[in-house]
Amino acid sequence: MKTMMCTVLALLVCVLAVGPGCVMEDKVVELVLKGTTCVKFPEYHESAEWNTPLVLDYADSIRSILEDNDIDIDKIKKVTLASVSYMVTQKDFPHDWDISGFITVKRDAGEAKRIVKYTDQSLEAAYLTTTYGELDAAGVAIINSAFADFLDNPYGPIVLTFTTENDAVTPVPTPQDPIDFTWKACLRIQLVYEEEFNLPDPL
Amino acid sequence: MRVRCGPVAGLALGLLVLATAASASIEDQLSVYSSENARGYLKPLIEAAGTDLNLGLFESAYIPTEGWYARIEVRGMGSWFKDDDRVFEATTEDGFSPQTAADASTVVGPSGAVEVDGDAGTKFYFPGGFDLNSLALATPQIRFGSFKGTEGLIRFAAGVIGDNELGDLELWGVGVRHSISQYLKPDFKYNIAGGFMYSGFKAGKNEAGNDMFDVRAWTLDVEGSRIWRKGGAAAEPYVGLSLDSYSGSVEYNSEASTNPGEVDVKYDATYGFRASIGLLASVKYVAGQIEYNLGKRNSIMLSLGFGKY
Repeated sequence: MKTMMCTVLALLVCVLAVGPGCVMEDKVVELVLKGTTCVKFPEYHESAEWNTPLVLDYADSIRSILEDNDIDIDKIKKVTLASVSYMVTQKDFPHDWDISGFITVKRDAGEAKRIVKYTDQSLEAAYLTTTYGELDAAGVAIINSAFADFLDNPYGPIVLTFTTENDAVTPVPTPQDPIDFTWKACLRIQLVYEEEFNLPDPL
Repeated sequence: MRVRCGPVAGLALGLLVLATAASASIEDQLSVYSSENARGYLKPLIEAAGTDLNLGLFESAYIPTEGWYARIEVRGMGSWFKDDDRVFEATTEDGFSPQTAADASTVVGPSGAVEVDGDAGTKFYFPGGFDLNSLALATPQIRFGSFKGTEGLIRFAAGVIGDNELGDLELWGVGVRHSISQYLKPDFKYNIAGGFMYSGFKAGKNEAGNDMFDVRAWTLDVEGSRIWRKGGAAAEPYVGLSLDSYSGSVEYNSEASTNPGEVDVKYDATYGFRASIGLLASVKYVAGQIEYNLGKRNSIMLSLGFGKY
């Protein structure tokens, strides 16, 4: 019996030492990184219709997101647009305004397409409040196309021009009662990347 | 690819919940989730840790009524993940339209990200899991007695994971067992004991400096065994029945736009019965033990012990 017990104990030592606690497996996992890129539009107008353009190197923004999160650019497999929001960040007016219009996007010298629509948007309601816009497929397609090019050449520029194209304001601004505010539009993107892990999975 | 590692690494690995690199990424993936998605994402890990913590109290049901002894034990405790641990119903976040529920990977689920199509060509991705089958913990513990058929148990293990974001790990527990068979007739051939153990497991620090993972567990059990001795060797099969409970919390910094800031996800206490069968084999001052457990989550315990048996 002593021999048998010694054998059992020896087996247990082996099992504990090199068995269940020690099987490591390499796993490749698709993880998700979220990032937000915002463009600020300072608006001062004495009429209801205006166009305010802003130029952005979106590739640079994506690279910054990756750098901030210490993720190698070569690990990125997919980049997609999840949503677009806007928010009034600064206001200087004695009363509220309701604005309607679009934010458009164009790539390089291409044609501008609508990406976000806002309708009767109260500036007071959007003050420091994230408001998600109604998206237009044409503008989203430009962004997604830019993302695809980024995956092909992550070190090149992606120059996008975002423009607020306002159609209507209530009440209508005048030289005596100009509309004066700053707002930002934020593109929320997701980056899917692969990471390899060596994990214990003993059983 | 499977890689076999050496004995030293084997013991060290027993302490880990997940490998260090994975743990940092768990925190990263958590940060993009609001609390409800985070709850589902981590639930199997919390439950498995709670299950593991409740293992390791059973030993011989024979507890002498007098005479001092102390034993040092190294216990490995592992539990299997179930199929329904692998996915949870997650909801899209961050203003994604339309808001959509989808089966997304939990932290132990399939490794591929899950894609959801939205309005106007937008897409939302839920991260993949780490594709794990099991979770193992290990700890040294000291068992000592006896005072009127009562013995105590203390377990403690701590580890520092270098410069990893998960930070420090800590596992601790206290238990007590009492001989019931001492009150039975002297010629009763079986040993019976009842016990209670309370354990905790902490891992990581969040940005506020609080513990990121915190799991607490207790078990109340009764065990029966019979000893066969020959020379200096002994074999003692045993069976046990336990009432287990565990609860947990996860504190992390969420970057989800719908609920940014510090998030504290609580996992309420859950209760369940567990049936155990095991074998304790000893030769003089060394003992080995193996135990299989049937419960809400099936599990196994392996142990080496040193002391007077």
